[in-house]
Amino acid sequence: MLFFILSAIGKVLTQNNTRDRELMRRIASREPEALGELYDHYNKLLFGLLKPIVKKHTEAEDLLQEVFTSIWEKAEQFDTERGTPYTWIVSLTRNKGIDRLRSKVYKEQKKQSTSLDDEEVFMPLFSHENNPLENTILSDRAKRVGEALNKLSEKQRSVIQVAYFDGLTQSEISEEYDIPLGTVKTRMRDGMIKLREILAQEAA
Amino acid sequence: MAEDNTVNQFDELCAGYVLGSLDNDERIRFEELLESATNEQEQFYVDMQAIAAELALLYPEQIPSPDLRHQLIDMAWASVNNKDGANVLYLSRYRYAAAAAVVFMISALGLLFHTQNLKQDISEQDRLLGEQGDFMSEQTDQILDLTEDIMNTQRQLQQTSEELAIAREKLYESETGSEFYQERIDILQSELAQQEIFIDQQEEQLEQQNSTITEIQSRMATLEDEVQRKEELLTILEARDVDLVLMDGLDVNPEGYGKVVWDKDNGRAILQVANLPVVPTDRDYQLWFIINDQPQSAGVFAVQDPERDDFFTIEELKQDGQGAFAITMEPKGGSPQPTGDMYLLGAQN
Repeated sequence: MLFFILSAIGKVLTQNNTRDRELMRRIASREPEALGELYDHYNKLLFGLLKPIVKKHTEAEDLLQEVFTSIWEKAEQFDTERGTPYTWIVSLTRNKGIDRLRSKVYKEQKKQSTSLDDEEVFMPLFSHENNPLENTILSDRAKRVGEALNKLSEKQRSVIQVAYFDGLTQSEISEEYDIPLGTVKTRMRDGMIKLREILAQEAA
Repeated sequence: MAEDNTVNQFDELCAGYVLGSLDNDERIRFEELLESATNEQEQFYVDMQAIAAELALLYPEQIPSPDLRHQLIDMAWASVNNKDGANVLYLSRYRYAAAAAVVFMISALGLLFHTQNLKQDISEQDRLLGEQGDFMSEQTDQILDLTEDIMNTQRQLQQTSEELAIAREKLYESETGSEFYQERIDILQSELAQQEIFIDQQEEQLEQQNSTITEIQSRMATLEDEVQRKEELLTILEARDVDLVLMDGLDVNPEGYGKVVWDKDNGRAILQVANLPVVPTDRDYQLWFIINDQPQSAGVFAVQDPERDDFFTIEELKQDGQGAFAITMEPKGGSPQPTGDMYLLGAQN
């Protein structure tokens, strides 16, 4: 229900959802141009999502290409009943990033890697090519989510932030911050449910 | 109570799942639960996923290399053009590493299988034992070499990737620098264009001022001429003994008026005319002094503005006796004898 409410926030969002569904249909029909269009819409957002997780520029680019290769290969598996293309693509991207973060090969390679990690340059956002209206909507959405996150209790917010932005598992959070595992799970669940309530109220 | 626990467990696992925060076994457990989830639980999962996806907006956007798009589109076209319809796999560095690991494992299994065979045959092939031992040793060396080669290749691949990353960043910085200087050039060019416009305006003003100066100089020259002429007129008028001869308009121009102030002693005179028509460009008026019925030319002149009085000086008019003055219109430069219409006529008293 909520994703429908979120998607109905504005006309542009609805248009984006309609546009994305049409692109997914065309990608499933093996149209490379549609994949290019979807890439144009989301490459910066997804690259911005991947880079803080894996830290290295080249790793993030490598993953971004894997993400869009997966979209190309699995577009027909996208279930319209289970959310928007945006949700599906972001989930796919995060899962790829987290899988890479936790893979043995990556951990091993990270140990052997030089200090290049420290030299990573985080590029600023240049949005000249984007639709300004779309940027504004995205910015509003980001602002709304950020405000909703700030309405959670400090304890709930911190476990969600550490899990989402640092990629730590519940067990790792428990160990790292010396919190019982059950408490971590409860705070995370309660925090996410509260986020749902806040966002639903604001969208109503 | 048991049902509540199940719901709580689903919700807890779901929250952790959408945040990517579950361990492997819990993740598998949740995916099993999802298979048999109620409609309400499934909706809860969809909502949680949507919220987690919204959190992604809090990351600042970043720009990947432009090459990625080309590679992706190439991959998609290659896949479409593949006759069997199979997907063309994108080989990331990790897939290369995985492929290398599989090759290594197959080699190791082959060696193991080979060693097992040797054990089974060892009793029958004692005489070949030394030779097989050497062969095994050689195979082991080759495997070690192969392993080292793979590791070297991986290291080179890693180094190349890192160099590529540095090169991309330098390229980006270079492009950013170029953009900065291009912006500066654009600004300077814009300022230059404004300066050029300003200079054009200044030149235009200068041209207007030059034109004004020329006009003033021309007027000054005209005024100087007029002053000189009036001084000459004044010189004649200052003479103590002058004759005044008035001329009236004739039939061809009844409104015409003329007057001669004649300084006989010095042989100079002033001619004043008014209301004479403008003379055509190929004609002139000619003043005649008529004495004993013989006209003698006293000079030619032209009238440009009939509304004002015109004054002319006559430098050489030395005649004795009484006569009359007349004005006719003649061909340009004058005639030896009057040929045209007479416009003015007046006799000395």
